[in-house]
Amino acid sequence: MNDRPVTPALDAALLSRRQLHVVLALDCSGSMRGERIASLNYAIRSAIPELQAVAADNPEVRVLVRVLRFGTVARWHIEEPCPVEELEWEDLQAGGETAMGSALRLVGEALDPARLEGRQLPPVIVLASDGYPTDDIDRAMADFFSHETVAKATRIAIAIGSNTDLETLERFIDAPEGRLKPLRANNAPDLVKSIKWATTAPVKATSSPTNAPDNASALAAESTRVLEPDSSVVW
Amino acid sequence: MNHLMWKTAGASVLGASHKRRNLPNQDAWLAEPGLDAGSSFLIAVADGHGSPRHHRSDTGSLLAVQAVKETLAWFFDDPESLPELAEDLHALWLQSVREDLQARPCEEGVVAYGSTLVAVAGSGKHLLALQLGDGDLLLGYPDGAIERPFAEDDLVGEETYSLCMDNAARFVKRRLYNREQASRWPDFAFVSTDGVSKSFVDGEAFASVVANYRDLSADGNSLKSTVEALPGWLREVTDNGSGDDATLCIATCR
Repeated sequence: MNDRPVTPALDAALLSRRQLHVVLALDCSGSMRGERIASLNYAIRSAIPELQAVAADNPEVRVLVRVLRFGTVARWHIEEPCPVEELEWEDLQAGGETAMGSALRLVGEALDPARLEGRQLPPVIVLASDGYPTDDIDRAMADFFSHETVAKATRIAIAIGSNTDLETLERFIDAPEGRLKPLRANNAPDLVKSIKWATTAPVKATSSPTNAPDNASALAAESTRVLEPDSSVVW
Repeated sequence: MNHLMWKTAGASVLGASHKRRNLPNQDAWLAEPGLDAGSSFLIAVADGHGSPRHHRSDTGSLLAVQAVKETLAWFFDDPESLPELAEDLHALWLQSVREDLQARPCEEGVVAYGSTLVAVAGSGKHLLALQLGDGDLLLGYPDGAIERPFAEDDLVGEETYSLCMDNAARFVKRRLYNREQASRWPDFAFVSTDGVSKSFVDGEAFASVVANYRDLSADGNSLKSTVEALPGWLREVTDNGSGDDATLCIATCR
């Protein structure tokens, strides 16, 4: 009897579940004080179970979440990639300026391929802001996009309120015409809906075992359909 | 120039995530001549997109491997037709899809059939590598080297080029090798859908497995056993990795 192997040995170390990193970069500047930061905290708290359900539906993908806050400085709120099933929320506080450039730099560094082990799905990066960057956003944006993983990421921006730097958010998304636009959250219900959608829909789209020529366009169409403005109340 | 005789093998398994959703295997494959060695060969895999918009992609992938077989049937008689190959292939796939649509219309039309396609074909004098969209194509050489003829597409996220795109032919990568002009010649070819490579921890681990397949196929007699073991091997790969449908084909002339 011939005992020679006829297929390659599958050492457990060779195979791996893919990882999906989700990074939330959240504006906690002074203008977010009051109802906005309360709504943001509520939105994330209520989005977590939905995100966990989406992840549970695709057990072949390991969803890892990190959260960064930016005010006068940018710093990690959840620094170590947290498995989504263990995710718990501690409320953010608002105050200070809008160091969005520093925030993007930190996100880019954290997603550098050299710092990620194992097989990665393109990450999901959500940036939510209600104002204009107060640091050097041009140089930060160039650094941010120099990371290969960032360039391939699904990038979602949420514009909170009516006095937002939409141009910067569009540069962050960097999508061809007809694709994703910044989501507009002009009141508390809109913000809750936007955060829920931004944290769950791209994760669902990315972690499902589908490849298609139009994933980003489909996501953009869904965002337009699902995120109809809730009311005429405007922050 | 010695006469090369090629044998081929292939298999496909349903991914765990498709099983959970009661979806069919949306991959398709073709490997000819099989275990009876022949002087020419074709291995092809196609990966149907699987999302709700592409709900007939299992048919689309099947039509893709059939279209490449038909397009290449006479290609090596006139390899100079390479520039028209992609257009011909796409036109043939579209024709098959439209025939299917006529029999059972659907709202999404051609888009419902979206699929990728990866293939290697060879005759005595030539070898053709062809790829549209994601998936893996590797060639093995007598010195043990394993090489990819094509660079990865520069697309965002899990996007891929597809036969269902109007301008699909533009994105078909193809490379024709002429044995008379080559300093070395592949003795092994491997194609797979992305459900296989994405199950491995990284590209290096995947390439080592492909190299291992080349080594194992050195003994042409064991290929039959490999064919029998392939579905089980693929199942283990996808169950512990991507959860996607997993399909591979190999060709060897060793």
